[in-house]
Amino acid sequence: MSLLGFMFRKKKEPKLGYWVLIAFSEEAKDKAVGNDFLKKIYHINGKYAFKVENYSSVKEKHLRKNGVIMVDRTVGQLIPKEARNIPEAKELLTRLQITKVIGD
Amino acid sequence: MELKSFAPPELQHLLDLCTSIEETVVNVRSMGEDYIVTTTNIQRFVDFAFRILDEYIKLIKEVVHIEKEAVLIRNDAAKAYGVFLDREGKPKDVFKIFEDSMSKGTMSYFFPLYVTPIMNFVHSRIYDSLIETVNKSQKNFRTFFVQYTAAKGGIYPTIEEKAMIPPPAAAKSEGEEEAEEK
Repeated sequence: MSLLGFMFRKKKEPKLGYWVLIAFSEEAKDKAVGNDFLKKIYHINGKYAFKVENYSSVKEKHLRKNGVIMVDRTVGQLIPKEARNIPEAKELLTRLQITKVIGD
Repeated sequence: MELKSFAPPELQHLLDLCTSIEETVVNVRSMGEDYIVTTTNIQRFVDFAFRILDEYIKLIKEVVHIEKEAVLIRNDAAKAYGVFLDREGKPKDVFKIFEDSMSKGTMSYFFPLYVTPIMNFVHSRIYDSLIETVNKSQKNFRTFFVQYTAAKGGIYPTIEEKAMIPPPAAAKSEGEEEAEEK
């Protein structure tokens, strides 16, 4: 390896194997509701999800027992965290229903 | 709904209730984005919701004879009704739940809280498993239906997972080999 190549070398990204992500569905974020029926399990290999399932507590126990790496984004949240964010100005403007007033 | 015609007459009542609960919710939402919720709509919704749970539990009791598995499936379904049930699993007084929000007129904000989990239960557990059972077979419709609903709750293994599990003959041979070595 040349010196420049050594100086500007890219850091190797760590290889992620099979892991699982638990997150709220978009319906839950839109309506600000939290429940087990509104969660989803994403089975991910590296960066890409190859399977999406509905959540259930039995499935989670089964995965945890088999030693699968798990990231739970719903811990300690009755309502999804994203529901409390203020929407952007663009999004708010689209929801306005502007009507024409005739006769003015 | 054409899928309903494939189901046996014993399961027809549950599917009728599911369609009627959908109709009430769609009727309420069609009024506008800030939809109006009346007392009759709520009462109809709660009646249908509990009747679906009753029919669902009745179906499980007839098919599943092991108590542990039946309780697990029942608890999985009851999670959708978490707002209406006590810690012991008994239904609360419905009037007490809606008392504050009805008197203040803020029912339109709280209505999705009661609706969405139950509608998700109907879609994910009943309709999805109905489609799979229709594709699978016409014989033993109810047993397959309950198996698919339980598989979606993670209680029974799915078809993909069943293929991964080794057959019992192979497991026995390993045990015998160990015994022979000793």
